[in-house]
Amino acid sequence: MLVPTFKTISINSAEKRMIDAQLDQYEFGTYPYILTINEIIEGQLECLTNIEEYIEEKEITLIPYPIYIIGDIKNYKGKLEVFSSKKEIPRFYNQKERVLNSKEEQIFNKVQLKQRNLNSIQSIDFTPTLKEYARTHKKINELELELHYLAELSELLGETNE
Amino acid sequence: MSKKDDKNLIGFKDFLDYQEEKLPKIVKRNQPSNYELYSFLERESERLSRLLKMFEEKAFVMKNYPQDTKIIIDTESDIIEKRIEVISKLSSKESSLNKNLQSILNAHFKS
Repeated sequence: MLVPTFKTISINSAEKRMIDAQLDQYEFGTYPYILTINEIIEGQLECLTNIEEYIEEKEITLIPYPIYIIGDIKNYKGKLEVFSSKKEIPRFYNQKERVLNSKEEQIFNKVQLKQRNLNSIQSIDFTPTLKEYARTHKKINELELELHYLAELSELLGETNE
Repeated sequence: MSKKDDKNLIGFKDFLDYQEEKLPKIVKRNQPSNYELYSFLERESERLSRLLKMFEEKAFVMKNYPQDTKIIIDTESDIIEKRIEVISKLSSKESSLNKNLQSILNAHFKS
């Protein structure tokens, strides 16, 4: 296993069959990946949709390692983040790979252990719980805003009625 | 430098050139710093620990001991109470709303 640095995959076709075959060769979840689709002249959006479908079908999570897209699509609001160039992508995983010394290897072993732990925890799948938590908290926020508005209104009415 | 100074330096020039040759050259390292990768791995380990904590502790508590439903019920009952309070204040005879409405209606319809 290697240090978790960016691995780049160049996608050359928007066809689902081709994308599936290409992505099947990689193990997602152990490294952060950059998928470049800017070589496709027409059908980048279709390609992106197919990539998202593949991720959903294979139940690939973006935790702990993200999948970034490099393409020409702008204002895209989907599961994946789209960047126009490699320079815009967060630099955290931009590390040069080399042979590790004993100290680095020691800490890398810890990283691997935590990766395995995370993968096993994710098999329990907390995603529905987190989504539900987000949904209910949004509702609580809306209710609290209404309550605050009513409290202010009641106070104002109290003052003017006096 | 004047010609006089040049004459004074005769004999020293060779010495100075020799000294310059002897100066240690700055060796540029092309290899990345040893600590760069180490600190990256350390930060990565910390990041994964935080994720683990979120999944193992926080998400576990969220899943098994949810409090959202109770909070929603409490807030909704508070909202109903406040609405009743606002309506009673608006509908009382002494309310500013009633007084204003009365004065508008009186101005337009009372002969």
